[in-house]
Amino acid sequence: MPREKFKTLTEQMFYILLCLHQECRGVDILERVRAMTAGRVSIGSGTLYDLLEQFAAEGMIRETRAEGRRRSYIIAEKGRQMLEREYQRLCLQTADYEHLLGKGGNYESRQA
Amino acid sequence: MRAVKHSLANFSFYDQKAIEKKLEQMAAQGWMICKLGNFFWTYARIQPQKLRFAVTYFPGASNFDPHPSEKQLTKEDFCAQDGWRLVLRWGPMQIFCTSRPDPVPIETDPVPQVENIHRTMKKMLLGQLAILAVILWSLALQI
Repeated sequence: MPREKFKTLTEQMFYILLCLHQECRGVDILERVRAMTAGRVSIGSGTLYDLLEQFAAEGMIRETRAEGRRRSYIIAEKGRQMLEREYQRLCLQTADYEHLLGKGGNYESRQA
Repeated sequence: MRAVKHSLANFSFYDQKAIEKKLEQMAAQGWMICKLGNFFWTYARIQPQKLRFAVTYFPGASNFDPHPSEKQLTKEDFCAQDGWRLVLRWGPMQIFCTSRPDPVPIETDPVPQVENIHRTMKKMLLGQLAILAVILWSLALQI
């Protein structure tokens, strides 16, 4: 059975939705995500376009303004819920890691 | 020295990496792609330079469109924002290039990338099947 779409969010999806907690022009998301993550996460311009289209079609974001081809978006309630669900999933993952390896622990020292 | 060169096209339409590598090699030798065809590709003379190319697909675009759609132009605007210049369009295929030494690729998530290719393939196949059906129907009428 195929996996439900957006059941988990990729890192790029996560940061796009996080960025859209404030109204933002689509093209500005590229730089905002880079600044937010100190360059650690870079989203491809084509990927950004595709994901914005998919999010809008799913009702996760909504368009707030259009100036010609420059569109602004903001996160919708469905997007907030999915972001919160992903945040909780990541917290559980972190907790499992810390439970097994301890905070700052490493696998090799545990095996020894 | 000639200004235009024709080369046999021996790539699959969907072989992005091979097409990008070929275009980069040609640019380094002083040839920029200017026209794509089913059998031959045409290049124009340029100064040899190190360029990065990216091949993407926009499902729904075709050679029969009178002009690119607003959505297609919007996607191209996004790419231009990140330093990728549109070189040419061929149906649903778009070719971009950049002279930046370490550019962020246009596609960084394989899931929407593969979805685009899949949708492009479906639409092109349906179009080709429709043309085949019309040809067979007109042949049947002549019998």
